[in-house]
Amino acid sequence: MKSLLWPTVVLVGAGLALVLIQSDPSSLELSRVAGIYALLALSVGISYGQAGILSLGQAAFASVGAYGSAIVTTRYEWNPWAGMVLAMALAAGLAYVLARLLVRLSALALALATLLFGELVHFALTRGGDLTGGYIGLPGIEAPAPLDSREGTHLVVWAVVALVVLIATNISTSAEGRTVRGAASDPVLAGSLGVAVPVRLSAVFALSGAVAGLAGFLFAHSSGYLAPESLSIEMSIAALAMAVIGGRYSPVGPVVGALVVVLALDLLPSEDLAGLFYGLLIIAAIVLLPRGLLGIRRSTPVSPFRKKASA
Amino acid sequence: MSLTATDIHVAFGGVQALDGASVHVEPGEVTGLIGPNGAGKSTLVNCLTGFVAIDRGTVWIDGIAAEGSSAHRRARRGIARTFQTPRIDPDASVADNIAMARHRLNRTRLPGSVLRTPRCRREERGDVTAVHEAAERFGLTDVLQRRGSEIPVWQLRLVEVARATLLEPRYVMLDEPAAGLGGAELELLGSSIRGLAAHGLGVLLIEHNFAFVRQHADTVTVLDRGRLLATGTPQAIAGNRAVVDSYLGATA
Ligand SMILES: Nc1ncnc2c1ncn2[C@@H]1O[C@H](COP(=O)(O)OP(=O)(O)OP(=O)(O)O)[C@@H](O)[C@H]1O
Ligand SMILES: [Mg+2]
Repeated sequence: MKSLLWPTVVLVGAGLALVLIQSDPSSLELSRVAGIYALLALSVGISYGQAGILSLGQAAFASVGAYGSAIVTTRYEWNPWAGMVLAMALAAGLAYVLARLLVRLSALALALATLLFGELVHFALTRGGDLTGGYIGLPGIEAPAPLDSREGTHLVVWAVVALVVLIATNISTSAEGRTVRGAASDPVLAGSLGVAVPVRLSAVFALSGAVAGLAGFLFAHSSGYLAPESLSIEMSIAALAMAVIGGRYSPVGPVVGALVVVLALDLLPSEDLAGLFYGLLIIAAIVLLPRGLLGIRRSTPVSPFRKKASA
Repeated sequence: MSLTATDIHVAFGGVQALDGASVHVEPGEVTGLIGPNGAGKSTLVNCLTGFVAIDRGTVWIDGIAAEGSSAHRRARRGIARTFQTPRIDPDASVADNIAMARHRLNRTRLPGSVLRTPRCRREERGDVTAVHEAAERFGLTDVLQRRGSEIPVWQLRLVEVARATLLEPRYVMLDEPAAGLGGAELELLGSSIRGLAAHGLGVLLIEHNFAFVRQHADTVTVLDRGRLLATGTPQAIAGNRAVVDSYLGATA
């Protein structure tokens, strides 16, 4: 599996550099969208791949973060970077509370609850009156440098993706990752070993929420406007599809999944086919590649043992 | 200082699994828990470790009633256990399966792992040493890199015991760890159990093989249909009329 990882990273990096050099507006826009999707897919990889929480609410966490930052920067003149911190904290806090309340549910019930959460967020945003701008949303969101240029946005978004890949790598190869995967796969066993299962899983879900919130911040402040539909439930489903297709157990898999899907969608003749496209992709991925394109198993050996093994 | 269950009653629907059972685990001693199938041995362990709610009766951990203490809290307080049907992550390596128990001693949580703090690295190095030591003790060194799904059930039982000891518990409940073990492994397990007691742990050993119990236990408690039938030294139990009639029969 390691053999696939580095060629993938090099290939993606080269592609991104090429986009930057060519500096073609439509490619840069596609790269921005793909990068934000990659962050959402990474947030799925962290929650679903590590903590076993299948979330259909990642775009809603992004939306909460995006609106939080957009509101404080447009209405209360906060510095956008303070808005970024707020976006992550809001999404993480909500995710933690939600997970603490619901993590004991069955996997399916939990997935449906995250879907319901997404609907609730959407409902609240459309009924938010002046605060959220209702159905119309919020225009005039400030783009702080370097998000004020296409090239700068491209760089920042993908630098953040790289950072989150690093974070996901650290989780999946650490002792905490081992504990969390164990707690997700056998909560009874984990409890017998002194693991406070709901707390440990919720902490990972909070981190996944923070990543989604960060994606929402980047979206809002690079788009300049925000509406309840901007970060929709379809995006949550797309992010899930991307993570599953690329390989949710791999720290790079969701990024690959996002790139594959965004590029394929770009070639698709009609927007109306997108839903069908996701459905087919997910089914194909589950049947043909249950572990995703990068083919990583659920439990990667934790790093110190891996070193010992190869020594 | 002891782990004690007194007059425990537990019913599952219509089944009275425990009907006034008691057991006493003393630090530094091995307590054998025997009895026919369905006598309630595993249920009693579940009561001691907080996995089953008690209808009536009390579990005392070092003189303090354990009521309301959840399973993971009791584990943190130093009560380890194995499961009659081994619980192993089939996808994770044997090493990682065993190392999971180190969570109790380690203090690094998610933030420290994300940042790979010096403490995180130090604790992970400690995990490796501890796992290799435990593996050596239970003859698992050769299978450490195998996945949980790749090793036979009798060996999974040893993985469970090794994992339980990595909690560095004060009490350890072993639910039929010897089932399916052959001569050499049985020997190894027996001496390891004695070793744990010698280190001051209180060991509760559930086992159907009375010869094994007789060889390694300091005291033996016999359950029958959820009730305490007898308790005493292995010799006394082997000569106990009621026990011989209801359980040991011709084997003793
Ligand atoms: N979760 C449960 N739900 C319903 N009945 C149960 C449950 N757990 C145990 N029982 C019943 O309680 C009784 C005691 O079971 P237990 O597993 O404690 O016996 P045991 O002494 O460990 O037997 P064995 O030697 O076969 O392992 C049995 O009749 C069993 O069927
Ligand atoms: Mg049993």
